Amino acid sequence: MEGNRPAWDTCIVCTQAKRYGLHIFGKFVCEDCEREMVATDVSDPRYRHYIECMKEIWLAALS
Amino acid sequence: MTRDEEAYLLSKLPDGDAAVRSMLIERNLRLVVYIARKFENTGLHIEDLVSIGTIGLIKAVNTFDPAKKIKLATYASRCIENEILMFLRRNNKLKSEVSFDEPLNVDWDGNELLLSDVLGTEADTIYRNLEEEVDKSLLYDALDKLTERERTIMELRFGLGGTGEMTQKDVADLLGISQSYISRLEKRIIKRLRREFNRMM
Repeated sequence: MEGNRPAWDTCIVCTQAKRYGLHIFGKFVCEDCEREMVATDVSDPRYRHYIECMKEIWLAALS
Repeated sequence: MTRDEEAYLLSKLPDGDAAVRSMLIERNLRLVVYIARKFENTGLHIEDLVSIGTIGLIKAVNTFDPAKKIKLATYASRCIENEILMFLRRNNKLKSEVSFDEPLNVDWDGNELLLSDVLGTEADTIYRNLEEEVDKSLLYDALDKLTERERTIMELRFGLGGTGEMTQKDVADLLGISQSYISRLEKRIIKRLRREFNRMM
């Protein structure tokens, strides 16, 4: 046990193991990716990648 | 989620707790799907629209201020829609023509929000133009009741055929009659037109 610290989880955006972030329907978005995602312009090529990643959340919500 | 549960989560929101934000995002994902559906006719896949809307929802939860007297669902709807619109606009996916009467939004009660409701014009501008159109059409109907010469005089004097207005003197010269006669005719015609007008209204 590591006290109150959250367990490591794999981020659906950067695929790295992180501790802190959002767990939405079991899908994990680390705080770094979240921060970058909400600051990324819709015309930025990275935005496309975020759209693909976010699909996992909806798929998880449907199942 | 009950109203009390939501109120509790919202009170915790300013702490920026990830678990609280996660829960609020989960609970409002249904709203994303609901709004995304309205943009299905833009050629984007529904999964893409929902993803974009989800980013909008995350932004909404991050920037929502519970101190402002506005419901999270209302605020989130705006953020979700904004995110989708911004994406469509940047990627030129928006139709270039829209109708004034096109529903932009339908609220949970089924009330439609029309483009004409939100245009940045004075409230009665659109209807004022409409009234002018009706007046114009009534005027042309009334003009049809005049003799050809009377109609010609009115058209020349007031530029009704799209040509500029002419003075009584110009019209008199053009038709080869005196200005005082034009003046008398004009008064009589206007009286008749007014009568016709009143009958039609």
